[in-house]
Amino acid sequence: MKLYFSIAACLCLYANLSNAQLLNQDASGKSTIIESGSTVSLDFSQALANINYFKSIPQKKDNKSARGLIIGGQLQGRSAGGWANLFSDGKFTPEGNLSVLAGGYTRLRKVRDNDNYEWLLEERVKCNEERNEKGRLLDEKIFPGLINKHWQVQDCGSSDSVLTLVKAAMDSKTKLIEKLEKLEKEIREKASFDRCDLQAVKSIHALVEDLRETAELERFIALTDKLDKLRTEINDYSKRVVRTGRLTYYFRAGVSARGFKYDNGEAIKQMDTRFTDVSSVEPYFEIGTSWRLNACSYLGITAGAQYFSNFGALAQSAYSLVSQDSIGNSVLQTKTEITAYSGAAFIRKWGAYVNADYLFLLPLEQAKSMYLGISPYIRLNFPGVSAYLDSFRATAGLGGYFINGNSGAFQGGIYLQTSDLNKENYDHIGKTITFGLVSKFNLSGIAL
Amino acid sequence: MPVVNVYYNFTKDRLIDPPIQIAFNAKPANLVNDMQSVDSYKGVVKNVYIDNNEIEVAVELEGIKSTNWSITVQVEILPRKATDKLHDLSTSPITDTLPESGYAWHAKVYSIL
Repeated sequence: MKLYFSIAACLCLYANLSNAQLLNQDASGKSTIIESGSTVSLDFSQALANINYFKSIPQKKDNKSARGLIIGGQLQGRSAGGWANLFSDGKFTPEGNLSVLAGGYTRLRKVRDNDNYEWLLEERVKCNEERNEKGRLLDEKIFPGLINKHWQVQDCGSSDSVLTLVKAAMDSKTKLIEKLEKLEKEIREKASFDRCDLQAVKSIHALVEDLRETAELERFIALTDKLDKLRTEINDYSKRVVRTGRLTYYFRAGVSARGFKYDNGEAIKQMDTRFTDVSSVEPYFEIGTSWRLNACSYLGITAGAQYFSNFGALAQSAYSLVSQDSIGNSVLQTKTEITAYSGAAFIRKWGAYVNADYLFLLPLEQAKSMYLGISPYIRLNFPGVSAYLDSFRATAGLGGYFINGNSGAFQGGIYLQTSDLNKENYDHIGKTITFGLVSKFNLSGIAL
Repeated sequence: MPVVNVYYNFTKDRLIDPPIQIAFNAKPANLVNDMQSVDSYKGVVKNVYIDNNEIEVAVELEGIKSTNWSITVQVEILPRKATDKLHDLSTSPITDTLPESGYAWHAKVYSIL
């Protein structure tokens, strides 16, 4: 287990260098808000390392795809005795957690007024295609024919420059007639008005008159106007579209495991029976929903059942076992460190729980593309019978995390968490509050 | 009516959704094929017809307020006759920020010459 922790720590250091991330989490490393992305996180106060990976798979390979699947998993390790115990023989009490998740998501989008928006987009594409077709027809057939019909100036030296101007005017068909009339006026007003110019004026005038009667040009101009109207309408309309985010629903199953030494009490005089090794496997499963309410806020709720234990209520003690050997006139002492947990009994029982998280992203005006994620959360446990497990427990917390909008990287933060709000002897919040510093590293950033 | 090929390179902050549409003179890009990564799209839209040497660049996005996106557009004017030479690519970098969270359609007209 120590090896795994060391590997996790190295991974985190590597991830830090590679600008790695995660969403909010409580003191036990859990979050009900699920978004695609992979993260590694370190909770320094809980000696907890966590790596998770969630991937969205759209139903269709289309950005507009409204539905899809989400799969993922989470691997977590924790040293119950804190970070320092990782490096001290005999004291290390490992806890591991492995979970897998599968579910689906639906993008929720609603138009405030009506469902006209998609139709407008399609109409715009159709209108554009027809306009392009008309434009090509004008370019390839109608304009060259009209020019040839009216432009009999082959023997006129100055006609080339006028012809170039006419062709340039043709590139802008919507204002073509206006441009040609302007060109005709300019030639008329020239100081030296010669025979070639007169012929050019006559040709341009005749061309303008013919163009006025060309149905294709009229249709082209009408389509251009329609396209402009559609563009304005779409721009206005898009502002009225209400986005309602994404709803993710999932099933998660996992197992928590821990190993520790249980102290059976002073009454036991034999070493082998006084401290017994206990391995506890605590499975859990849950159904949950994670809702991206809008671009800035998320809500997650899960309900599940877990094989709870009262490990948290056991008292931790550190012992030193000293044995002596006599070597001649000397005494050789051997000291063995033992960390053991004691209490009335180690109990496990199935119980139910409900967890909820909310996350709001607040843009930071001072730092470009940086956001502060405010995340209140609550954990409600409804355990089974007997001693420690028979009462309802409620835990609340507030987290604050930084997120880089450019890379989508959650960059860690802090959380404050109360212990049992329902505790009978709970008298002052300051005595039971937990403060955590979490560093989160993204292996891949969250992408909305 | 000049016909052009439009080469584009679109990048965005991760907190902007995948673009719903990128279009040049209303001709949409194939975003599925052009996706390079979650925050980058690169591709070409061929045979776009233009008037007045102007092209409308339309980007439909949604995401969180104050996030940034940019698109670089290069236009290749296609020869009208076989003997015409290809024009050099002209580049128009466009950058913008989502003014508010939610839905936004940004359509801008740029001169290609």
